[in-house]
Amino acid sequence: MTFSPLEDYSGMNLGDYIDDCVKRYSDFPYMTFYGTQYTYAEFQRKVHILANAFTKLGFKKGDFIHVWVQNSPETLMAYYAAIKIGAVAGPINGWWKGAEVEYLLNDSKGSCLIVEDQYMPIFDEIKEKCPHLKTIIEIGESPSGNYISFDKLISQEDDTPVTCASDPEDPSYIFYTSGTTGNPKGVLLSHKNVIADAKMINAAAMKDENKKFLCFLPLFHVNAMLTCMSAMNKGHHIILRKGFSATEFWEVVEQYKVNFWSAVPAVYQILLSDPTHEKYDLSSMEFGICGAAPLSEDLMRNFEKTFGVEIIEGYGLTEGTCVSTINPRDGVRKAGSIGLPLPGQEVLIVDEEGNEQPPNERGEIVIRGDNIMKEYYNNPDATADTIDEKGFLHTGDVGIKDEDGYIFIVDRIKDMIIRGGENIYPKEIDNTLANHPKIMEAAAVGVPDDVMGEEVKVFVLPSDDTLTEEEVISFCKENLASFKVPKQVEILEVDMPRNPIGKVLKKTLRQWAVEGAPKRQKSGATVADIFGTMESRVNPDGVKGITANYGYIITGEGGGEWTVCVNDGDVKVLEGLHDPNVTTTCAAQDWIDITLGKLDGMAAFSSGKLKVEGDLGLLTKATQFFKKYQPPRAAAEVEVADIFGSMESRVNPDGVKGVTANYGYIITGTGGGEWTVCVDDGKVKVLEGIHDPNVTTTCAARDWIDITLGKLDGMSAFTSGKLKVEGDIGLLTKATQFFKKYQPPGAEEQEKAEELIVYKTVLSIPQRFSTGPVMGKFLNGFKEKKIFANKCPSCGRLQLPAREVCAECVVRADQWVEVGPEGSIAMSDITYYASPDPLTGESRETPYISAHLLLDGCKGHETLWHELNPADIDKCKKGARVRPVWNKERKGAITDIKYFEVID
Amino acid sequence: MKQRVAVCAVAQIKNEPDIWYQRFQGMVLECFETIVEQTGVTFDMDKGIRNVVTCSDDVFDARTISDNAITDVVGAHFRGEEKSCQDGSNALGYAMASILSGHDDVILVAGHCKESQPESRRMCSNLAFDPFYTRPLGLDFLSAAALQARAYLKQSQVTDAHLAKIVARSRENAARNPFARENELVTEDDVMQSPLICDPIRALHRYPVTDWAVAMLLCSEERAHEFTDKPVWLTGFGNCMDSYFLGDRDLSESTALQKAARRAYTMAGVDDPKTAFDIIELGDAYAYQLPMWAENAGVIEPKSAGKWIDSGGPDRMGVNLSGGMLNGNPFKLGGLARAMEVVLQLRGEAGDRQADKAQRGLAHGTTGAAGQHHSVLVFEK
Repeated sequence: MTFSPLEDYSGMNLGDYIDDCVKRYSDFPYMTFYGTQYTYAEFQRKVHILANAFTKLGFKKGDFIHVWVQNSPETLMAYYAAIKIGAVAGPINGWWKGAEVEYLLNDSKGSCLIVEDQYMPIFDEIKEKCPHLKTIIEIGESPSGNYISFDKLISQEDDTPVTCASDPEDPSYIFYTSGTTGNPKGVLLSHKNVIADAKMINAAAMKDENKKFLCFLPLFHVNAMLTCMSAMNKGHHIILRKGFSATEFWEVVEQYKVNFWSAVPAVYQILLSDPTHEKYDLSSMEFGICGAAPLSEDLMRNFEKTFGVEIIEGYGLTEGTCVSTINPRDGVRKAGSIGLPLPGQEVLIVDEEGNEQPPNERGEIVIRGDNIMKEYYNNPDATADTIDEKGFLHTGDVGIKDEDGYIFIVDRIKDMIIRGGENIYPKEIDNTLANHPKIMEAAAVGVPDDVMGEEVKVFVLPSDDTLTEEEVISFCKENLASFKVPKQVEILEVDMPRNPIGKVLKKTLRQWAVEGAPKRQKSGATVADIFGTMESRVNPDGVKGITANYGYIITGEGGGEWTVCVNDGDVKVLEGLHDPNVTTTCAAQDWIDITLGKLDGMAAFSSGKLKVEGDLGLLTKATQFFKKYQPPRAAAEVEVADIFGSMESRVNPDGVKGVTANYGYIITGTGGGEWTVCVDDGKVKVLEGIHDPNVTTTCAARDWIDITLGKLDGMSAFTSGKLKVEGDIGLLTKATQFFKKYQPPGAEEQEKAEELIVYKTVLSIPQRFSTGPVMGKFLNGFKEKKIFANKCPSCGRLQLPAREVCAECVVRADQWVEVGPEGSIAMSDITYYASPDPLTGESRETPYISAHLLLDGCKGHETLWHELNPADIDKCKKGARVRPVWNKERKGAITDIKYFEVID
Repeated sequence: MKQRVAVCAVAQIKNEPDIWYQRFQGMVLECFETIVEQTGVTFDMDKGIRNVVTCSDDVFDARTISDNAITDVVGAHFRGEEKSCQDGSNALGYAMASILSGHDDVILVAGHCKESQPESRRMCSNLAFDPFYTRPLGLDFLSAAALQARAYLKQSQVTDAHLAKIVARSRENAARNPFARENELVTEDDVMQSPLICDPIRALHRYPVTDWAVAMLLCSEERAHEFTDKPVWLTGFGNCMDSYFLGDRDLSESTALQKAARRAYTMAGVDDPKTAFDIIELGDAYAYQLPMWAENAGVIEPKSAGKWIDSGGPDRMGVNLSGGMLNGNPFKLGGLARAMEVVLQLRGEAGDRQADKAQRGLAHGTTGAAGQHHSVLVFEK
């Protein structure tokens, strides 16, 4: 059997569900969050304390309690406590900006907000505009102290068990989804919805008990919320993290013996590309769940091959609580398919009239089951548009179901092109063209057409510059029905328009189809020049201590192969590939864009434009190796023939006076030739060929041009052997005065610019500053290793460093308090100095770390800013304990403290 | 009806050669607290100070955007603040414009400068010159003033002896001003014997290095009674800028001052400046400037300054009873010091140097090489 039978949940509310789970797994660990672990019973006790505290604060059934807190046990405690008292938990997306949160709070009219200190700056901006908020609870490491303390609520004694009295149909959660159009909508989920979906996913994919589940997706989305809920029912142990971090993933898996996790495709791509996994014991891994975006077949196969674990792809919407289909773990998993409907859900493919389509026919995916949301809160029109009278949720996704019942997503309805009454799914065209060897990515859109209503236009991102529009059309003709063949093809010079997670914005493409796509701006940079200038751009600090060969395969026009050999500070760039430790493959134009900073390297990597094989970790270091690349200014074309041809017109009469001799020149290489410059006491003739020279100079054309332009010094060319002389060398020294400066054709403007005089003086007037009594008291304290803050007599806040006046109260801050000397980091800041300093040429220590330090005895914004020990870079985190390192001799200056160091 | 704004309170610290024991924030703070004490003004966003105009100089303060460092002690935290980097008299002009335009009704003006802080005052004013044509040649405000003094003295009847008289008188007047820099009294002989530091300017012809801070509270006519029962009215303001390059100007006269004065007189309804004022304070950083500014401001006839000095004109007309800039006020604050004296005189608070029945006064400020920029203020009781 593919899926296990669905457990009964009738009559149950989420409080009952939680209590039942806790009863069964009481002493098992429920959650580990960094250094903190809770058993099921301990977690439940915290939930009860908080629920009792909520009741004392006056919250009751039906109230909305919004939670704006990053992943932490407290986030879930807040959800569960709210649900226990019959209130509705309202997670707030931590990535949202002020305006979005403001909209949410005014739409839900929720009266309570639990907010983490990191979001306070945003909250402070909008709080005046959120009149419905009555109670604000603050959580975090450094709360402002202006609101109710979450820590105090959760530390209360009253842990009387709370029994949830809600009806299964009562709302439990409200999740706001941000649609691509219009305002966010509040998805109201009932107790029954959440229990149903949790039990459904367990029936489909979780037979085992007491597994280790790694949760790094944000708890403000349904995915993490639901997996934490469903995990309870099987006694799983949740390893909760604040967010996804590629650098810690493997370490966490090894440390906690993680069995499964849930992620999005981008995470799998990053994990697959990171070779550091080889260092870890990953034998505990069993499977990964993937959702939120389509997973490519390649990625899925490669991941499974590399790690020997399965990726289970699923599909669902917030409106369906979370999951609606999944590939069975024990049955056939079809690549590219979102799998089979979960037990208890009907997932159908229907036509425009709502009739179910036969297998392999396209239609909209609709879903029915106990998991389907109650409604969009306060938005009956949107609810009616989404859930039909038969109770089916319309997803807006176009899909097909095969004979075995597996569902494949084809497209979004709104992206569909209707050409002369025929429905065309642009995804089909996109996917077809993606198989063309010269195409990296294609995206088709509908453009208005007088005859057909809409016509197909396809935008193509080539992987090979030689791609033509005709090739695109003929490829489509071979592989697609004729009505789907695009009428217009545009080969893009720039990247596709994308949203922050890399998804192509078809809306913008439709605009481009009408207004034209942006063109690439020419920079003058070439791949050869980028590699050719690398040795001269080495940043000594960046390459220090690194020994590795970096191979580059740059494809397309102007590309080639290079190896950058870094050997502890020494850098050599070779053509061709030579034993690379890591190899980067990239199209020439993308490589130029990355080098010029027009394309973000990370974005190029995650979108697949830049492919890496080998030790990926090495590559992240490489970003510091070189100083900025400056593309060459478009240089005037200079030819040797022009230099000799213009000599007669450039004669300097004073220079040639009194000299009679023939100067022969043999210029070798491309553009070279032979010339004789015949000087006869003031007269100069330049002849082609060699004619009785008194002295003959032999030189490569390239070098001769450089000497003439002043880029190569004649004398050093001679000593280095680039320039060879036969005959009377003495004559040659006179020749330097014969001609006026050679002007390459079209170089006049550049010459004008050189007339600028740059006047260099450093503005410096010696100054003698006095401290005044206040600053003097503060600095004098340093002599005795004491740190004094001055205190405002009116508001009581401390000032560091001491200043005369409390700016807020505008009174003298004339009281003194000794603080510190130890404290903690309130906010650390790491800066990479350019070294040497472009202004002074002095070398600087890099990175430079500074921090706002909250010394013991201070609170809130009473921070002192000082440097941190650069060696502590890895330990510089908010909250880390620090102490000052004093200079041996102290003179009453801020630099008497060398820096603060992190106390282990 | 004339447009006017009220000066409700003024406060200053004593002019000193070297306030080594305070940083400039501390200096300003004393003035600020005196203003609050005198008027009871608050920082209430409805009724109190919402806007502050400061005056300071980046080069003397050795930090760019020098006003940023003073915000706390003038109560500008989360309020409007603007800096006048001209002579401080323009800070008053700016405050006046803000009030008359209805933009604000209570404005604090504060200025500070520590000339003792940089090693050389001349190095600072050298930076006022362009880096290509004049700065490398070493021009500073002293040498520019000497060029002007030469040009002015040549065409006026003013002599070295007249300048000596001006300096000796300045010291005598200052001795009666408790806030003036404490300088030794000098005789006319002392002055004429003092070394030429930049011919024809002698050591005693030049204002000495000074540290000072000042603050004033201005408000609209309607609200003056809330802060004082002795308002002094600012009724006229005019300013004018001359050419940057000295060669473009006739240094022997000051068209900019003539125009600035005319603008102020027109605004205040002054018909004849020669008889209109009971108190006149002129920005005489150098001795020759007292007669030169008097002529160009129109308070005496052109080319009459020599006789005017000989006949005791300055005393008769109540000119620079404070001791003037010549006795010592710092860079950029000369005009504020002049205004300070006029206000004190009109309030009858000038102590031993109080003029009789002072009803209307003129204050003048200038900065830039050889008086490039001038401003003129008219105050009435």
